[in-house]
Amino acid sequence: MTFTMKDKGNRSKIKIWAVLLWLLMWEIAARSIGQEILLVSPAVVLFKFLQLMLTLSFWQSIAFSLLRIIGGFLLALCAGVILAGISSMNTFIKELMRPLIAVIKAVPVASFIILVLIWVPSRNLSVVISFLMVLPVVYQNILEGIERMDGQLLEMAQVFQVPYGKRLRYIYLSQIMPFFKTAASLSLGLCWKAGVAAEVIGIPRGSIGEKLYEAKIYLQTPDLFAWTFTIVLLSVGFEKIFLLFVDKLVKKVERG
Amino acid sequence: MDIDIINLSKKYGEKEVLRNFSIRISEGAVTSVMAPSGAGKTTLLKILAGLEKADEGSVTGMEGSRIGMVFQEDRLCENLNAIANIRLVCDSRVTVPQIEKELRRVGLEGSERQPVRELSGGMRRRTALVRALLSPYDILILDEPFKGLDEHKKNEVMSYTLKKSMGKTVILVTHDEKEAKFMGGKIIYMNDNNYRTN
Repeated sequence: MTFTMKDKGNRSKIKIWAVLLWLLMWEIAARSIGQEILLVSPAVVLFKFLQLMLTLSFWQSIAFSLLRIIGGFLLALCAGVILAGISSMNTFIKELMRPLIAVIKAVPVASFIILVLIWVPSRNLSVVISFLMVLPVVYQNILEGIERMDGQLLEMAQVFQVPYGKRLRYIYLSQIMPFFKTAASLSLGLCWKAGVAAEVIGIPRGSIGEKLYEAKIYLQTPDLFAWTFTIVLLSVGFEKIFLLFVDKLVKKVERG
Repeated sequence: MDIDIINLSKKYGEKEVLRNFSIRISEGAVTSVMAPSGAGKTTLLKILAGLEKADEGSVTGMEGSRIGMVFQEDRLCENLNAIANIRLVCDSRVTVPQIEKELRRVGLEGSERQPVRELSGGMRRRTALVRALLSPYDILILDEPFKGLDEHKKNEVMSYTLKKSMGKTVILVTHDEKEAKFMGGKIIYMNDNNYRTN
């Protein structure tokens, strides 16, 4: 039995046997060490996760972080697409954006977190950090997609005087979509990692980051693992749902 | 109105592709241009289609005309099926059943709803041809439209093209004299910037 982590064929499929083997090794290591504070077993993590699920604050923390991290992601997605569109039409804007994007990519996320904490309240920190992590990835991918557009199809549309709405729907959309999906897939992982890291530093009340921070302070290793497991589930789950939604939307738009 | 191509010249860098090329294309008739590779026929068609500008010379008689074209490459949207590719260029009066009927006439029954990336070279070529013929054109430009079709199918598709474009101005570029003769009308032989008319 297999399940796919990335849609790139057999080579990137994760085998269940490999996962089980790693879990077994983890269990053996946890039992050998025998100290929960250093390493908890997978069974304890799962039990803790189920326990957390029964609490209201678990769902409140998820809602708090999800709303902000995904909010930042969606804002960056819109901004990235619009800026890439403008840059593809205007060399001045493209040249202007180049150093900005390079700086955003190069600056360590920790520096951004500390800097942004000075400017915005900690409860909205993860929105800004998530936005900053996603923007360069989306911008560069979409711009590349536009620049690698099939010129022959555009010439065909010009000769047949295809209306711009139809060009956008049937030519641009399908050509850019692979780049958009790659950008979304890459940046969703990034925004969760950076967003939660920002919350751990900013400690906004009621966030997943706060829960991770508390787990560290009170040496609650099972909680730390259970919350980490939750973040991974949220990140992978949202990626799958988002890409599925995009696929369905594109099909609907193309069918008219 | 006839199309007058007068002293058309085009260079790409140092390479001269067209030099003082002049012909008249009769309105409502087929004009075939026979040319070997590299004789400048694709450049000529691109200038006529408005995709390139000539360095010198002029083209008159095409002002405001709508063009239907079969390019040397199929230029189809790979993820769309044949019907959607054709609807992309047609006006809204052309219905799906009409498109299906035309596709059946060139032997594409059963393949109309497959994405074109799954179709064979010959099927894609026929899709591109039907697309051009169903588009709202005044002038039809055909750049080797029957390329890749087997002899039997080619005759069928040529007859279909001739029938569908009857009374329209058609500019056909081909390597094959049989195709030019089948389509009728004037044949222009173009070679190394020399040309003669039959």
